[in-house]
Amino acid sequence: MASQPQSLSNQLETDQQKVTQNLINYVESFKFPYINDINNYDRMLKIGQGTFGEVFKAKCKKTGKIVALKKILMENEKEGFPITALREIKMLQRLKDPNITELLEICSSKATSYNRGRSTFYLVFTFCEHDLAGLLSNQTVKFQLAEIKGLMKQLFNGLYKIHMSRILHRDMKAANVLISKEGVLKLADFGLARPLFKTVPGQPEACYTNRVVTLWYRPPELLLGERQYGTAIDNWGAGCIMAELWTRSPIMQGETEQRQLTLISQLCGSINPTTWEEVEKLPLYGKIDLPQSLRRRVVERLNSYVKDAAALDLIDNLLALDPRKRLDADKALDHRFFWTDPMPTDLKRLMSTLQHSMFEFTAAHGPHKRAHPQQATVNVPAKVPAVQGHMHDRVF
Amino acid sequence: MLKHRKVFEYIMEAGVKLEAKSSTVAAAVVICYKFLNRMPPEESSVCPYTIGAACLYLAGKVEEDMLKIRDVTNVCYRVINPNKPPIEVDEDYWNLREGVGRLEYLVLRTMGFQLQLVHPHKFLLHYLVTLKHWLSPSAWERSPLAETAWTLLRDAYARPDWVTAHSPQTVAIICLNLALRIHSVDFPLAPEWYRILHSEMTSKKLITLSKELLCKLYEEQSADPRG
Repeated sequence: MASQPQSLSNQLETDQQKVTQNLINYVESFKFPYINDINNYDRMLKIGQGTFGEVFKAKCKKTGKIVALKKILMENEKEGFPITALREIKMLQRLKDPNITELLEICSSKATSYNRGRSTFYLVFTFCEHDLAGLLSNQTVKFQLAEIKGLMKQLFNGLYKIHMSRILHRDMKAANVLISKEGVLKLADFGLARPLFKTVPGQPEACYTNRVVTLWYRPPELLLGERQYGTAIDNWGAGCIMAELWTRSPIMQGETEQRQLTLISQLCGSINPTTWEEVEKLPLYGKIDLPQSLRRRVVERLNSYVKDAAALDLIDNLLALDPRKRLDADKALDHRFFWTDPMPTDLKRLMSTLQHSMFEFTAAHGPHKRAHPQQATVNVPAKVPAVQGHMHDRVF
Repeated sequence: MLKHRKVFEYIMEAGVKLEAKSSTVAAAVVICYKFLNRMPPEESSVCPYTIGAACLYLAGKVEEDMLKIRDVTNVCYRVINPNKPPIEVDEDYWNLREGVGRLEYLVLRTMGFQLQLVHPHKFLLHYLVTLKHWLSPSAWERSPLAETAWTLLRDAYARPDWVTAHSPQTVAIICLNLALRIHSVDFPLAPEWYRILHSEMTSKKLITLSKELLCKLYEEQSADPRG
């Protein structure tokens, strides 16, 4: 069945296709019954700033509900609505789970001549009082072992949901782990997430960018240039976050990719084809310096912080160099860490001791404030971050 | 005739020329159909063809089948104006291209960002793989069952009203049934094959809906003098 375009040409006046003042006026005065105006919310406080844009705490004028507003950054106006934001929206709509941030709605500001006829869009989330990086940088916040188990169990539940929905998070870090005042953990920031490609036999495998995940939480395969990675990249980050619950600051704080790989080798042992099968096939293997004859010392170096043998074993298995040997979220949930005394507990006790909202961004100090890890970015060349002062809190 | 049917056919043609995935074209048509339905009737100052181009561009993003805005603009212009020379890169071109980008926003907002679409394509593929195992290799080779069913499904999008009125499983089964009838393929051992594949399907529904799709798709078109 072929359509007959010839007959269409006469019906069309070319000026109907142009961006005329008419169209601009039309869009400006258009009432959108299916999307709410941002004026429904009163902004209270800026609570985050990153490569993704700004995040505000706000209150709904009608219901009084406290929400977080994430402004969508409009970088390349010529390409229409940013695909990264569209992906984030699509994935959040798909990922309805108690341990994942809840997208309530999308709001827009009115298009006026003031903003050149372009509205700004905001993602509206249920507000969470704390983030893990903020909590960890506050020395008065003390976690009991059962609470750590409760936290990690929720984290893996969220991660399991994400991976089962065939999505990669690609920016696991303590600052992206939110905790509500009821003590519910929620994985946040799907700005870098993307759907897993299906592999079609006989077709070249789809490639992703390896310039993702904040440097300190970036797994070795990404640092070695892997572009066909899988869900294991998020589990490396989960391992880093888990260790951080005891060490209170990120365990490997490299300034450059090279330095990060050195730190990983010093902790997890040398990277070579014996410790990691087929590592030699990765694009940057042989092009980047990998210190040799180092022993794996994960358990040895962490046991001054982590007194629980099951916890050490779980971290050890999450920080496996070879992504194929790294524990996935499902297997992690079966680990004896979660099934031996003290059993995982909720965070009600801990939450009742907290008076203020603790966000990494608003917290005045803490390891996450002092040093600036290389943010995960897409399409932005790596910059060596300016290191301010000494890294007192570096663990390794 | 369905209002805006020509717009949907134009989206399908432009989509095929852009070498977009079938699911991208399907998404573009469904988004466009829903958008035009939501537009108040008195709001008709925007050209539905430019809306169609914006829907195609948006569908590329939604289906992870990124189409370039330049290609969408050029191909859509060409499909609308086949007798004119290709569009010059001048002010009109940039206006048109910006219009596509801006209307994408209009579509997104009117749709309230609800773009979670489940297409019949994956069900049809799944059903075809199942049926292939029921047939002998020679019977499978004899008739282009898969191609016919896939073409029917692609064409069905000229009637997004029909496609969106039924579940994706139902749409896939109907296209498959028509393909089986066209090539006279039967399953003597499983006369109720449709119920095995999709438990909600009944023989009455199968016959009614198959007829309905054929009428809506092709009879209307042959009634069209251009047929």
